[in-house]
Amino acid sequence: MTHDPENAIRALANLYRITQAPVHFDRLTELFMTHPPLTRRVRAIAESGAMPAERLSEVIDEMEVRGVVWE
Amino acid sequence: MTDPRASRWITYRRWIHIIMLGTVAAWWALWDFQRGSALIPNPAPRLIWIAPALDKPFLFWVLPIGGIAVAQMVCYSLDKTFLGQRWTVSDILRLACWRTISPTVGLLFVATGFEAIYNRSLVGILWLVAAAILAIVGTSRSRSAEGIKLQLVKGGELYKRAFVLAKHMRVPLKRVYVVPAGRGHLTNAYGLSQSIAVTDNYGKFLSGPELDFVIGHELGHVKAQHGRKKLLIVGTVFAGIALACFFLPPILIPFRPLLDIPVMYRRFLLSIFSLVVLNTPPMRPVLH
Repeated sequence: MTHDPENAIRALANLYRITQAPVHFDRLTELFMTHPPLTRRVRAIAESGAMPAERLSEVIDEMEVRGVVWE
Repeated sequence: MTDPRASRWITYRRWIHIIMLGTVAAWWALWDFQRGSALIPNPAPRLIWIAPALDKPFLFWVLPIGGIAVAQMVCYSLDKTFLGQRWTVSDILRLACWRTISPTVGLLFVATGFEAIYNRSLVGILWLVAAAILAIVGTSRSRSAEGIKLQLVKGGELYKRAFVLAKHMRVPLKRVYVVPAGRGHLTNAYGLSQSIAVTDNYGKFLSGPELDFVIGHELGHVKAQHGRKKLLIVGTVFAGIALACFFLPPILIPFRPLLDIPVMYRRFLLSIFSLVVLNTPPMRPVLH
């Protein structure tokens, strides 16, 4: 939509940090959650935006510095 | 920094919600099986302290509704502790009341409607209509109790960004709303019919291009008409089951409680279908 996967990932990670939503959960819990976990969404955005793996890893590191605990 | 305690509570809360719905479903199915089969004893005669005429109102209405209302009050009180929400006692009572009405009371109306339809009474349709009205009113009132009050905006950064993106995505956007974050510390966005709504604290947390992602996501909901499709799916499932109940051959009557399952667990069944048959994760909206 915005053709900007990096900012999409940053926005999403920020929202998870603010709302304290779980970053990861098991498959059974996932069936009952209203939204997929952050890790799965980030992967989906990176894939659909053809984001290189190295850049994705840099963005994840940057978000960790900003307080997002990935696991 | 993410607080693991808060994240865990959000997961537990979801499970509590599922267990609450599951309890109502099990109660309903037990009730239904008990009437259709001699295998399950009738619990009513044991309740000697209740007048016989009040057995059904107590067991079918008061007990599940009261139990769920109390559980909802406990959950909202714990939200204050774990999520830092500033609900007042009056907020908690209102939230628990409307969250019990929709979906619990609505589902009991559906159960009563199906029971009437099983018995070839068209009054059942009135119960189903009443359940639909209750679901709409209950959802709208519980959103209002959570502080979700839409305020139309006609200018500003959000408005401009929304209309630029809508034009780019060819979405027929007509209105943009902001929602006060309020005592529930809401941070969310919503895609409605030809309009979007974003809580007023987004600017504090997200930069311009990040905000575009949120707006784009909500415009995606508007373009794909997700709200309308959801209503259509729920309506079709309910109408299909009502028809199945009405035309059920007598030999299959003892198995009719099995028809209760898709009503209660439609989301779960859709997730299973998505995972097992389509081999894709149940991709639900990123935000609401």
